[in-house]
Amino acid sequence: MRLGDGLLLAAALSLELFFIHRYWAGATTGDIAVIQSPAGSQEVRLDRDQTLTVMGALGPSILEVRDGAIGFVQSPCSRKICIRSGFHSHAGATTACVPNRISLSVAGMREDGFDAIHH
Amino acid sequence: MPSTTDHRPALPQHDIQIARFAALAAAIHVLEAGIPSPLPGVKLGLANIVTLIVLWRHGWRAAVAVTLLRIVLSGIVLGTLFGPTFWLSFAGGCSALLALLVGDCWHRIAPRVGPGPLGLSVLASCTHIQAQFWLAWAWFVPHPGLFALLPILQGAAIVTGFATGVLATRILTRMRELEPALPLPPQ
Amino acid sequence: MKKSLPIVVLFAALAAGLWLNRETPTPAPLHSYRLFALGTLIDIQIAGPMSDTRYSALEGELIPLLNAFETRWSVLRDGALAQLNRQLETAASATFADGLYTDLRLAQQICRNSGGRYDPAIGRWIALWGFEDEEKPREQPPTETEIVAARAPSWCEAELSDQIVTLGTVGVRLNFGGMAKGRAVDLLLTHIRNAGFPDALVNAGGDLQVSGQRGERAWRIGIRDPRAPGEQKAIAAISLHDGEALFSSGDYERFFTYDGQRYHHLIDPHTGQPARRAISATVLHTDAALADAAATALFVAGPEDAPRVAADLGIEMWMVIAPDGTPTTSPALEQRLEWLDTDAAG
Repeated sequence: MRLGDGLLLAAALSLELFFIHRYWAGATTGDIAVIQSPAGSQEVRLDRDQTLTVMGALGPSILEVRDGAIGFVQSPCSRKICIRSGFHSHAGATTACVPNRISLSVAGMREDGFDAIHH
Repeated sequence: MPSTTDHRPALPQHDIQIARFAALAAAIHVLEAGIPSPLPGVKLGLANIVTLIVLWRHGWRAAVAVTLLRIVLSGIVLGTLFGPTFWLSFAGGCSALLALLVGDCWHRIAPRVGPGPLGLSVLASCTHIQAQFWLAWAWFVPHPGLFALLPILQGAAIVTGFATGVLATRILTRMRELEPALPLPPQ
Repeated sequence: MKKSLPIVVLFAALAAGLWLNRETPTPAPLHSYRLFALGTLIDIQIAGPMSDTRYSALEGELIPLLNAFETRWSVLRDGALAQLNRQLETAASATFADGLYTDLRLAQQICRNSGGRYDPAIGRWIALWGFEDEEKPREQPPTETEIVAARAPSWCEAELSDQIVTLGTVGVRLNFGGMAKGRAVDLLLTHIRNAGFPDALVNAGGDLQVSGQRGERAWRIGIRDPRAPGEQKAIAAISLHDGEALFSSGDYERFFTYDGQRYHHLIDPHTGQPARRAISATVLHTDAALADAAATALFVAGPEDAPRVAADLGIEMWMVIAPDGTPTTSPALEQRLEWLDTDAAG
């Protein structure tokens, strides 16, 4: 084996380490939520607790990720249906703050997940 | 079989060689496509051995010809020509080829320090899988869950690239023994 | 002989490769749209390959379709139904635009078959209870006098021709809220199917219909506990076949609370008060508009009358949950439901 071989192999291995660090750190059941707002859509992992502020048509809505579930905790809409609908963790679950034009849906990566939640 | 009375001019030896290599590579490619894979996109990449050998022995022009012929031929045989599988294979093959050409330049500029078939094989397999992954991500399933596959795909590429590299080196050594006129592959 | 060996090997390799390649199942790519309409979020999922340009083009078709539909059936906008209602304010008879007849007739059939438990002629009661305009909610129930004053003749008794409707009195207000969502879902799904995408799911705030399947498997739906809206537990699962719609009416959807009592939007057409015999009713049927209206009718009927009303409506698969939380499920639906272990569910 020559120096060039060694260098290329080392480069390939460091890329591997980078991928492991970037995409496997804190491996998860794989559920994520997709938040869609007038500004575009973003994806949120549900395995890390966090608080997000998303700008909607009326103003900012605050969402929280807690124990693998996500829900609205504050929203400028009048009837607060999105907050009342609670926290969502099942693949296929959708909710929205309709007046504020922000939607939330949980996308499962497990094959046995649901495509939609009926309620 | 050509008879002694046939006075038509024979094909240039060079073209015949390329056709033979392309046919061999396509056959390996088709056979390999039939081996069930634990993950879509992960395969041994044995067909790449042919590209490596041609590159090493006959230069980059021949390697490009053999690789492109191989992809189109196997696309026709497998019935995937111009379908999604074909374009994935095409993107992977072309980018791996490009990476090989760069690696080959490096080798020619610095013959002692530059990479041999082993390093080139790893380079090609990694480039191949990365190109396929990003095309698949952009085109078919832009699902963030796909990223969890990246470490597996890259790991598999290193292992298979190394294995095919070792095989290619061995085959080149054996070929060298049969044809002492050609340069000896590095140890 | 020796020379032909490589060729034999080559062909053997080709044959082997082809044989091993005879079937290649690939996971179905999924495309989704999220549209805000009918006061809810409409989530559309389409399984199967689709190009970016086709995706944008289809979105450009679905949005105006949905918008025109909403205008036509809205009681607040200036569409066909609003124009009909305006005529009915001062007359017992009115003409209506093309495109309404089929659904006006279907609504009358459902009204009659359900013994008046689904009735679109209770628009004045819905407005009186504050459930017509989301922006103007009520905080306390109307008085008995107000309710009696807003009573209207039943839609079951209306005289309906293909352009003219005649009701018993002046001042009837029509509201098709109990059926419009079903018709909208059906409309979207039909359009998607005709556009060349046979595998799709349209989910309008939890009420949904599917066509085809998702890749290699059927569309799979989780059913939520109607009494734990904040917990999001799926209590059951069901796989839907091509064309099936799953619709529910529940007292948790739109309501206000006054003096500890919940007043919801499902008004009993016989009393003018929110129906109290159930907390939720679910219908599975291949006609989404019928499923939607039938869910309202079964909610009003309650568990005791549900079997008879469902039979009269031609509904085989239904479930009604009593105020104490006990579900009554038709045998045909029970066979299809997979109850989940709610203790273990996350």
